Amino acid sequence: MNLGEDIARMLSAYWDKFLLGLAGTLILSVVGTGIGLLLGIFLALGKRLRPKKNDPLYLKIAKGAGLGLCSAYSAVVRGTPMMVQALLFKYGCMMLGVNWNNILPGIDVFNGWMVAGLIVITLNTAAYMGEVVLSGLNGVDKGQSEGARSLGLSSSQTLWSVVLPQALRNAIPTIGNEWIVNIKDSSVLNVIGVAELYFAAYNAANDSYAFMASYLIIAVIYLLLTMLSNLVLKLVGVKLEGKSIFRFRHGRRAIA
Amino acid sequence: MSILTVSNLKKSFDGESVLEDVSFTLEKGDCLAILGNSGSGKSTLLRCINLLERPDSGTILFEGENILSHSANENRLRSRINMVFQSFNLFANMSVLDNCMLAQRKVLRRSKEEARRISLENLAKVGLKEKCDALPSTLSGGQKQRVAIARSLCMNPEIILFDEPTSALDPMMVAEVCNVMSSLREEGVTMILVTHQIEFARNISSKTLFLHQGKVDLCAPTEEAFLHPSPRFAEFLKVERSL
Repeated sequence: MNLGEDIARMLSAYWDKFLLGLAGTLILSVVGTGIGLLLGIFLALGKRLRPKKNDPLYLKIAKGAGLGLCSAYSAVVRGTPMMVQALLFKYGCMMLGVNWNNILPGIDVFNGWMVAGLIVITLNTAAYMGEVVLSGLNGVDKGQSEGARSLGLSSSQTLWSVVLPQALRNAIPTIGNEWIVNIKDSSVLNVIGVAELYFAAYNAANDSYAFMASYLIIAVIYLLLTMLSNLVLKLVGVKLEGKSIFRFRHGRRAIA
Repeated sequence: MSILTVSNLKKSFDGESVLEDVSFTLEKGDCLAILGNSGSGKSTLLRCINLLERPDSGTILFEGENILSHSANENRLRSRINMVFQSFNLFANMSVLDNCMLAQRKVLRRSKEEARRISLENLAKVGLKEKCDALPSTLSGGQKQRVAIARSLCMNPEIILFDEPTSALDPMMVAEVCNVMSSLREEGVTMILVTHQIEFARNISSKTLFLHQGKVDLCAPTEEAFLHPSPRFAEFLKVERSL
């Protein structure tokens, strides 16, 4: 039997598994990147905490603790592989008697340890997004926040209305890259039984012994997914270049 | 009662003294020109009044209230003593209209309609109503500074602080901004102006303060200051006019 026939046979016999795996990968990458970005914003803000000379003691301690915690979290998560984090999460949960297996019965895509996988990829992405957002925040001209403060806006109003929208806008290419990385790296979550694309191919290959065909199919799917994502990111980039087409209004993104 | 009384203000950065015992008063409707060489502490003084910098010691009484006391509401005070910057500091992510509306909505809690109406009125005052939908990046330097002035006017501030508002502009644009400021002066807006435009400062201001190495060398009504300058101020004027 040649490779072409193998591929056709695999697609016809296991298309539903591949489709489910594709849905799992998309959910992991989109949700992981989205919520990871939100958490990353708070992580970046934590890493910008600096006790001031005039702060009361409790505030100095709180700021120091916040800075230390966020920095430690970022260092630990970025310094260990996501596969190892997934295994530690799974066995840690099992030790504590928490079972994430099939906690959303009836929804195929959430079979197995998908929810745990979502938590792992989100927490992992948050650490990287924290750095992305931090560099975006540092890239916004100091005059922007001074302009806002000089008009009477509070620190938080200045942050959410003026500084953060600009920081995120500057960081969109890097945020997009994180999304693409997540599409591919979500495959390591198969080690804890998350039903994503690699997991589907692995099971199909073991079932049919058509290893080459199975992995070739998902290689093409991954490539198509990343190419499609790149295209989306390029379109966003083009929109951003067009000054009047895409802009942020009062902290909300609006396409005018 | 003076609207602003600055007394014995001191500020240093990393042990280097920038302001030393600076004192002056400002009456409502006054225009105070602060002159001095680069590094003499002019901008730091304005930043202290706007609370962007905390002085090491001294008092700043605004309408009788010490704005440096810990109980003072910094944000409320800043909304009443606005600042216009050399580098404009317009919000790059917002249109001209949104730049003018943001602080009105967030700080003064004005309704969207009211904020919009006031913004358009003030943009018309600086001759930029038709640019309300433009982004700051599409404006010339002079236009940006006029928007910054309109943005400040929208807050109905008691005092506007101008920190070298024309330094980053070419002569044509300097004229645009100076004209706007002159009309504000005629309307009786209280302002403090830091500038190197000596003749403009002389024409527009009612009072002149000359800073030398962080200390007040001269503080007098403008005509008197220019007619009877202190030796250092006379030397400063000579050098500036020769440029």
